[in-house]
Amino acid sequence: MITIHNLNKSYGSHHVLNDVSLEIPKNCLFALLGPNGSGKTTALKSILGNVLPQPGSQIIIDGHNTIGKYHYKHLIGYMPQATRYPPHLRVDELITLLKRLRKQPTPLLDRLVEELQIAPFWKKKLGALSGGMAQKVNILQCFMFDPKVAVLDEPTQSLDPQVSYILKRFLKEYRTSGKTIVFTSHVMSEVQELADLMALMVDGRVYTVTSPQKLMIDNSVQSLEEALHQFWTHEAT
Amino acid sequence: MKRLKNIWHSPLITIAVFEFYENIRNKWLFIYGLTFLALSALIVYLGVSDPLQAAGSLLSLVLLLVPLFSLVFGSISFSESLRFAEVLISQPISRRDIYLGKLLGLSSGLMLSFIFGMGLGTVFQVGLHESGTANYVLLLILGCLLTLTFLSLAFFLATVVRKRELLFGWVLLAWFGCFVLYDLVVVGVALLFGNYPLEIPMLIFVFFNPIDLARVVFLVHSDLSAMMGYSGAVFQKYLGHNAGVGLGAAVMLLWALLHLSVAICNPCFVRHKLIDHIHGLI
Amino acid sequence: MPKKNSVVKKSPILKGGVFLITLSLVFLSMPPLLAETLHVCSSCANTTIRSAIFAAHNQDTIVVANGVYPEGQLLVDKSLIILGENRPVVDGLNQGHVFLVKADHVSISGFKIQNSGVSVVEEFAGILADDVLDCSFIDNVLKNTTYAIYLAHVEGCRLDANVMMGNAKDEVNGGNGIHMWYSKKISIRNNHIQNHRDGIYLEFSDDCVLEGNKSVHNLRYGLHFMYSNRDHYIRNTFEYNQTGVAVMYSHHIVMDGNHFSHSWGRTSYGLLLKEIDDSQIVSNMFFGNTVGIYMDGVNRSQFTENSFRNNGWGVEILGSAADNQFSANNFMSNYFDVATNSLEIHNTFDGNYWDSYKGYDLNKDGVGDVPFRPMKVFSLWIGQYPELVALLESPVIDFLEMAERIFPVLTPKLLQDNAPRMNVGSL
Repeated sequence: MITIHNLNKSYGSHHVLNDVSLEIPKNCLFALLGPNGSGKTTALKSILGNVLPQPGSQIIIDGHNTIGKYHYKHLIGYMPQATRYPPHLRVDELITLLKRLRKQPTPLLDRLVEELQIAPFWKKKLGALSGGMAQKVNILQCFMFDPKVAVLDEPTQSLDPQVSYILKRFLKEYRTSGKTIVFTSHVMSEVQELADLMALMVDGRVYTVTSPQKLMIDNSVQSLEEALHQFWTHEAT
Repeated sequence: MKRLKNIWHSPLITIAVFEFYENIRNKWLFIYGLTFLALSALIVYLGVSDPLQAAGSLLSLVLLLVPLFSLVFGSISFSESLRFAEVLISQPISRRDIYLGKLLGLSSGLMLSFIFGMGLGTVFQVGLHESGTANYVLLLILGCLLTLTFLSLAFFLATVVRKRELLFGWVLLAWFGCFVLYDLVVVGVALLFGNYPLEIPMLIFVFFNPIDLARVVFLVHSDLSAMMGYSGAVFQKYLGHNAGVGLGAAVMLLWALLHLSVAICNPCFVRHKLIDHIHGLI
Repeated sequence: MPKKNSVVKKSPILKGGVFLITLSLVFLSMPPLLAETLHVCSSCANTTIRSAIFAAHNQDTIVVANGVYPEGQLLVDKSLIILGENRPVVDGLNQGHVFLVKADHVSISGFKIQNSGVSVVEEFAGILADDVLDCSFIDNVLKNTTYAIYLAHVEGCRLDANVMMGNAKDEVNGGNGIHMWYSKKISIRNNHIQNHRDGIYLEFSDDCVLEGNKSVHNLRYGLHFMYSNRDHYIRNTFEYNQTGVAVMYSHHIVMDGNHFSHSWGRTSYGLLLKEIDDSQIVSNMFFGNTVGIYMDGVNRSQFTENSFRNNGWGVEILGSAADNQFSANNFMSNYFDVATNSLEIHNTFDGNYWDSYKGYDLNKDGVGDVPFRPMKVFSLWIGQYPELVALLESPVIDFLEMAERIFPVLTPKLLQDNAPRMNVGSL
């Protein structure tokens, strides 16, 4: 679904991404795992097209070469980690704005509004929403168009436990309908619970692409944290 | 009709419309309009016996408040909206539409509260002086042009300067530069090169500062033009009559365009880092 | 008269003849006894003023009834009193002067005088008096005359309560309302003059008095002196002229209690003084002019108790002015109170009221304790470098004034009022 080939990015002399190449399939929850500064967010924003990579980099989504273009973005839904929505717009106005911009049907709008219980604050101003309500809006705007590719930045990082549970349940189901979900994380348990595949990133390089289950079995441990510890120890030697 | 509807539903206009909704509900814009209402009504009220001073005071009010508020409000609004801009960028629309749409929406919000405040403040005066009405309309037009010019300058600065504290410093510097420093330099030039004919250099100086341009366009169209004497004849020639207002407007729009094009689409002007910043965050 | 003289011969009864001659001369020199009154009207013996003048003798009175008299140019070559009843209209039919007065002691009053000739070469007037003594032109309305009243080599004339509605379109072809050329001791009172080139013009005309006139909407000057000395003009009003009054190459002029207002334009002044010595400018009001008083080459003159209000510049002094005294004037709401282009100022300012004075008066004697310098640095610069008008209304002017307040050393020391008044004097 997504093919990344020789993705390079540098700010001045600082190389943020070094020859990153990835193949992200359909029906997959794909995690970019790594510590702060590992380049996982830059990789994510390159997929989104928010960051312009170095010449020679290739990102192909659903057959479209995406570098420097924006029309392919009707395939994508994006859920930022936390955002500051225009405080004087109402929830319904935000949804109208996005609907008008994309000119696409919103097959999941009603279902998400119901599941996330957004109706009570549907006409409220975005600036007046509580943290939990804002997170629900964040999820809604990402998935309401039923995008083929969903891109999530640290999805459960700042979520309430209840919203976090609803999101995870939704993601697991969403993956099975031919969709690709890419998310960044530095939380092992989240990746262990959600990811079908993960790319381990350090210093702008992809060390390995594997599944959390396989890594745990290979290292005969119960948690991803332990598995990774073992993995780094092996790498070092 | 269909074409009109298409334009209405174009991404640029859509963003502009929602930006406008967002801004007219902002209390600062309300305060901005109210300030103009109160001050202009006060000036008009106190200036009935002296319409000349009143015209001068209204001009000063516009030259002071419009650029300052446009710069400060514009840069704050721009940098505060960067995070939401990420969501907008990930929609299938161009960055240019986002940038210009936001500018259009914000400037129409600012212009509306300016026109509302100043217009309501001076409307009672209309009819008291025969020459007054045209002057007020001209002042409203110039205020709107200044709004656009300084908003685009604010947007430009906000794309170049990333740190917010630094941005605020630059914004104040830009304002102070256009408001006073530039004219101080002009005074200096006049004192240094006073032996040479300076009419044409003065005209050029005026064209290079939107505040000066607005000021002189207003002057040559008001009773105050009498005070400009023979040395003001060159301004009368180029900026007098209705065509002069058009020329002034064109130059100010050119300023706005220059800022915008540097900010969004002309990589020749900017270093690699700047492009990246613009492309990364808008 | 020559006929009567020719009758007298050296006859035997010489004594009786001398007696008769003496008697007749006595009668002749007592006009009231001998003078006739001729009437002009449509049913009178004289139906035109021209025929009445022809029939009349010196000292006669011609009374003209209401009506329209298309006369062309009327030559008045006898000492006559010509009276209009109920304002008859005398039409010059655009032929020349309407009244051409060539005799002493002529009085013309109560007419509406219209349509003088129009010429590029000649200066045609409603009433032209040429080389005469003691005339009076009172209560006439002059309309569509190039010059309204023109006095050349006239001494001792009264012009009272005339209304002159000119037709001047441009300075080259337009004529003046009252034009005086080598005339002396003329008294001009309570006339209304408008739409001429100059309202009132005096050239080589001395010892005249102008009082209570109103001169408005004239193309050039409301009142204009050239080479005319010892004239007084008091309590006149000059409004909406290009320049209110211009006094040039003259001395000992008294200007008292006049109102100069709304001379507003690129080259407009309330009062323009050029090469003027020893004059008095007292109790005048200057309101809403581009420049209240413009002084070029003015010496030894007194400017006292004038008020300058809402002018662009209150007083503009060119460097050539010296030994003038400004005292007890009021300066209020002017853009610039005083401006000059020179670093050498030899004029004194004392005891004036300045509304921009920010000083204090601790001993409460009505006089500020700190001297006031009305010349701000920007008004000096704008005098020296006129191109700086480009910065009119710029905040830089306020900025400079603020800087001057913080650093008084910046203010030019040329011009200083040592005893600025705290309160405004009588207006």
